[in-house]
Amino acid sequence: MPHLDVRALSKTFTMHLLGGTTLTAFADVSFTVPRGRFLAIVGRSGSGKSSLLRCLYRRYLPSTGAIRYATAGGTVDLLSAPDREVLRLRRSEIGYVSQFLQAIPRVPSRDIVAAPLLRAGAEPAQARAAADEMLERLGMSAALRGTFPATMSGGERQRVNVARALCAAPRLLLLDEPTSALDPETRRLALAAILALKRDGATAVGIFHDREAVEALADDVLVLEDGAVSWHGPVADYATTALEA
Amino acid sequence: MSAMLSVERLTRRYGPGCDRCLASTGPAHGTNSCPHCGTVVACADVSFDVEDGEVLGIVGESGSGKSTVAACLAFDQPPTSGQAFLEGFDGDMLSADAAARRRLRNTRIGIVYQTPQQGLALDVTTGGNVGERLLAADWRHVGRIRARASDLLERTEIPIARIDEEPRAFSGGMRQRVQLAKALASRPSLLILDEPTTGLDVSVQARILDLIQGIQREAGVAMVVISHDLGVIRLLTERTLVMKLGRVVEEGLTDQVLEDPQDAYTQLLVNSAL
Ligand SMILES: Nc1ncnc2c1ncn2[C@@H]1O[C@H](COP(=O)(O)OP(=O)(O)OP(=O)(O)O)[C@@H](O)[C@H]1O
Ligand SMILES: [Mg+2]
Ligand SMILES: [Zn+2]
Repeated sequence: MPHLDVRALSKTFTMHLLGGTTLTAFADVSFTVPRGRFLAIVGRSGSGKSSLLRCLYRRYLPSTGAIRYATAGGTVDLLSAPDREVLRLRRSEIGYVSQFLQAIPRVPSRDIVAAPLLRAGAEPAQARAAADEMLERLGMSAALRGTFPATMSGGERQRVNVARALCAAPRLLLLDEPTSALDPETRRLALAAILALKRDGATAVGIFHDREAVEALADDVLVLEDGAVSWHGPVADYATTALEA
Repeated sequence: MSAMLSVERLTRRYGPGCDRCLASTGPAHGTNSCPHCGTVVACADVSFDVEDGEVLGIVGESGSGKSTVAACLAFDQPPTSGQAFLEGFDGDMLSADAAARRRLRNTRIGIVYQTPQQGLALDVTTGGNVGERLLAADWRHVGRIRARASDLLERTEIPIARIDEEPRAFSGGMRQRVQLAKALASRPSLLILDEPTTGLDVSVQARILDLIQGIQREAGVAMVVISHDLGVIRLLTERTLVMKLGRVVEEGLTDQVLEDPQDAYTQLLVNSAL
């Protein structure tokens, strides 16, 4: 049984302020991700990648279809699951890294990273230590770990963002260009941390704009074009397909 | 986990009422006032539940009925119909007898009102304001009352030196903090915060929000936060109800409601905030 089984998923926005105009972000998208595999979603800007990922996290409400997700306790449809069930899964097993950190005011980065662990019931001292370790792995200096993200650079903030999601060791990781704001050295560190999670058995769906990340992380690739799947296959075939094109 | 508070079809009308009030008001009719009898339907059929440790947000335009929901839950207003169940209390608390309601209000429910005048006796000392809640909750020992009041004021960052001053002399932010100290006095299971930061300047808001987040991390309390400020809702809550003209028009995960609002009114609200 796949870890994630997305069937005929569509998302159409109805914009009431514009007289009810509709805009379809993507339509009839189906794919499965076996447990422990990484799926990279690639495609031009505006092709529906982020909307698709947000639907998987239920930040957007999908319009039709199904998102069957296998949890330890059985399969749930993330499209129709009650809000509390989704919150519980977000806390316990689904992590999401947005393109940018939505800074939480007045909280030092170390505590932002530790928060999901604390919520899951970890001891405060242990959670902070784990947060410190993850930030260190992403190359963040000890001094910065105690400061507020509000004053940090884009790349520093993004490390906090990535660390927060990785630290909780999610079983399903949803990544929206997590490394795009990072310099090459930090990007390498972030990819290594994500790979470590993969080695521990995590499944992931990620949007990456750089080929290096796709090749380093993905097992499979799905190409979105104008909201539809135009190609889906193993990363090795994707490389040759792309070369031919 | 079962709900700490469960509210079912709460309705509050102001006016004589007729059998067409509900069918003639609400978002579809563009008014909360019944065209047949002039009754104001302040809130109708409002249902939700909140678990221990959860914070539920309620947003909506002015006059949409948010404070009325709070007032009914704090027994300040009798509902016209509907029920509410508080964990550990047998049956509908809204239809309990006066003594039982007073007891619940004094021991299990804390509220910070939209206007400090509603929540504070402005001409009674700060210590007296907090102590009054403790007395109501059956605290009898004067020394212990004073010690607990000091703890609460310390926690809400009111300088202890000002315990004998009247809140009349306090700034808006300090008054809200005294209200919070008062609301927390009896260690409530349900804490209702009606616009806790509205009208305060940003740095004062920040400290109150930090304080609320600190309370949230402690076990044993379910919170309802009413706010116009979507930033406050995003920061404090994980689930949100959107009200308009007395009705709930949308509810969902807070991030979903704010980033992918479904209802026309919610879309307007979110777009106006940007
Ligand atoms: N005592 C009352 N008598 C008559 N009408 C009332 C009374 N109290 C409230 N209302 C009406 O009920 C409706 C809901 O008011 P309420 O105070 O609950 O709104 P609110 O959502 O809290 O608004 P705000 O955001 O401005 O605080 C309004 O139309 C109001 O005028
Ligand atoms: Mg109000
Ligand atoms: Zn009527």
